[in-house]
Amino acid sequence: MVPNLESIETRGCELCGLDAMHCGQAARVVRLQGAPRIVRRLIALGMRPSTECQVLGRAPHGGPIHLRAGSVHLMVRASEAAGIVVEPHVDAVESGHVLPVL
Amino acid sequence: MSCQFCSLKGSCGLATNEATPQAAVPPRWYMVGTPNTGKTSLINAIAGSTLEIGNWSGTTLEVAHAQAHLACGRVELIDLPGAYTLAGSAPDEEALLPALNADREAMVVNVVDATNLTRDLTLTLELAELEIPMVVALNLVDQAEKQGIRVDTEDLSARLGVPVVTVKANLGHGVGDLVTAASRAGRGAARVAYPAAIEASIGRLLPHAASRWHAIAALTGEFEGAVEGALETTSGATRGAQAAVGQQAHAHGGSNAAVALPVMAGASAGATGSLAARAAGERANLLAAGIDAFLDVVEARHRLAHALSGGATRPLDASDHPGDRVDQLLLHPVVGPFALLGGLALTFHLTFALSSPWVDFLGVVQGVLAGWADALPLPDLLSSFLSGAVIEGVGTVVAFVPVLFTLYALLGFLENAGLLARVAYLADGLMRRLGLPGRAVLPMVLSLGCTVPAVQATKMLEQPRDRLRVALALPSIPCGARLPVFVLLTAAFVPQYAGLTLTALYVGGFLASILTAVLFRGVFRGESATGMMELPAYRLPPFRLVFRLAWIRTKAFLTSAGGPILLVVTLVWALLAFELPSGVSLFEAVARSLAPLFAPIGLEDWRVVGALIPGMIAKEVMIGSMALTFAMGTDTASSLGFLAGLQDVAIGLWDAVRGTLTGLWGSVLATDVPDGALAGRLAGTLPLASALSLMAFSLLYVPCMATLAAIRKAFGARYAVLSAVYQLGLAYLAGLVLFQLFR
Repeated sequence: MVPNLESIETRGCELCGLDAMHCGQAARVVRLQGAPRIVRRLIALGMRPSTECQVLGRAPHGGPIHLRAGSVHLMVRASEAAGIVVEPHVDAVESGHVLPVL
Repeated sequence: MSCQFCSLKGSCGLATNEATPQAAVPPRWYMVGTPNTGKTSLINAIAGSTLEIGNWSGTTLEVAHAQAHLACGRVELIDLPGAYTLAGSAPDEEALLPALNADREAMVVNVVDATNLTRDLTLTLELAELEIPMVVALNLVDQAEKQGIRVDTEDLSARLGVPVVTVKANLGHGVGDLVTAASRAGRGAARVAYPAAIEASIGRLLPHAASRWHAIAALTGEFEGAVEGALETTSGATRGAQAAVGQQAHAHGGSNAAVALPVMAGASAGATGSLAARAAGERANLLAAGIDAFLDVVEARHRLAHALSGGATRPLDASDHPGDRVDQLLLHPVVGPFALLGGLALTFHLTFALSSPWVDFLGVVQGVLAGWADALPLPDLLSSFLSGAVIEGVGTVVAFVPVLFTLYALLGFLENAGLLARVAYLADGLMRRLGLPGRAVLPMVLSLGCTVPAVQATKMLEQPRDRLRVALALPSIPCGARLPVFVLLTAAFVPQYAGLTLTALYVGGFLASILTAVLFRGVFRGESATGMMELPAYRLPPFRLVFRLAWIRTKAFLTSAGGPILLVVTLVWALLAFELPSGVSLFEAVARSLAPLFAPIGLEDWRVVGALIPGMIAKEVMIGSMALTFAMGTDTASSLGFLAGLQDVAIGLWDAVRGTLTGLWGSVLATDVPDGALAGRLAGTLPLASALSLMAFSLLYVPCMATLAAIRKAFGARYAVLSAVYQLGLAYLAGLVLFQLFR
């Protein structure tokens, strides 16, 4: 919840679940894990390994995550997003939250 | 190339002859594409006036279809559900493959969204592996160009090996080209190059498979995935509508579509079994060698699709789309929920503003007609039958039309504009805590207006189980027709706490609805919905299509619910019209004999029990019934002269037009306060406990015949019966508890 800690944590671990990313942050999908039904659906929707994605927002009341995967906009629940293992781009322009830590 | 198709047909000589290409055009065209690509718009553009909606054979899935007389002959167009893959990663997608499998005279019109070229071409490549004649219709090219994406259709066509035609589905541009191209439909030349080990496996499976696609799907284990998510709610009840869709699905008549999935027409079930077994072996061998067949296949298809699209995908950091800025506002964690509430309130307001003046107008017409019928020189019984059964019955049915049409049109508008998905996004968190999927918020809100279109709207839920349980939960939410009943009852029995009681009724209705949905989650088996969903781009909805579909749905309601409503209205008329030898009306006799049943919930007065019977036709009828039995006399139109009647109709029409225009701005929810005289007469006839019990019972028991008809149409007769029994039981229980508490 503390912004500083969050960004340090993200920088510390090279890979993390997509649910751990913050708004505006961009990343590259490394692999998908979880129930086959969910993995298949994610792939069908355009979320494959090596897809570039960006978190655009979070719905209120613990609702889903709004993200862009390639050229499509998706909503994914946090529990499902946890299975999307990503490599965040620390230096990306989008991850404005991270830059000030330097 | 096209010989395999026509040799099955037995008309080979003509089809291979390029001089008469017309003969080669397959008679059934299946629209296949990802959701929101404009498939239905395209069908509408090709064959507008014949557009119909029917249930997919043996399932509760809705598909649009149409007949078209084209230069090349008569063609049936079928709109298959939007799908991202052929293997079916969501329940609705599972109808896709069986349909294409079972039909040897099929042609696929693959509608491709030019703004999402790479992803959509992945589906195109899958379709090419299915080896069915295909044409690609490239839609939304102008929007893609605005985003800096240019598609070379000739190059794409050459590389895919099938005709590629540019269309503007919503405007009907390019339809002629599409029809011409249909005669050149090809099976596709683009072949995905899979890694050598996988190609070897495919080669070994191919002799046992119906097509290259089937061999690959078996190898990646996608068949099992599709069968796993088998539909639960299919029943023979929807078979009536299946004839309308065509004969494409004979192979799997009323049975579960998903189970019939791997069975290609002509291929025996045994052969399929051996394919699955062989594929499992191949998959295990690949896995042992460190190869995940599924991922490699997906990757290879994507790579080719990407190459075909010329890398024409939008760069990630292009955040200058107007839609993105709208999303920043609409989906904002703080602003969003308010926008959502405001939007829902506006939808609701518009429904009433646009429909209630016309409901009133129809009421005036009905009254005038009834007056004329009374004035006819006919025997009493006959004229009473005319006004009390025929005109009243038809009037009750027709009164639904303005509300239904408006709600269907608004719903179509929201869906096509890309707003429904945003509603689901915003509501998902809260709804999930209540044990419901986010998308259920819309049917539940629509239900405040009218339960009938709300039942229809459950189709937008992903999982069949959720559709059914939400549909069964909807009748408890107080619809617009129940409001005047509540206003009357609260004014009569709890005048000092009218507002509080009214609020309690609405809250109680919603609570009962949520409890019902949660209860039935445990009763019906099936998967729960995932939260994954595409948020489609904002688009201007195709208005003509939206209105046409709204009218088709309203018409479908008239034909399916009209009969039952007329029947029940006639029955109630007969009860009122005939007398026992003792001089007591049949109605009174029946109500009196039912009264002991209602004694435990405090309703002993036969007049109140009597009002509940016609209340099952439509709730507002309760008021008229009580007015009648509480000796108010009938308020039906005094027999007007012919001219006076016409004048009334003209004034009614003027009022309706004016009301529609003013209602857009003004408040429309100011329900006409029911005549105070009736409230006064009712006051004191029931003790408080009985009155509360009556209100709870009116809130929860069967809302109307039309709702039952809608449930029957969407899910089958047994669920309509279940709903009726459940609502009666729930109402009785609530009445009992309230009566015993307040006694």
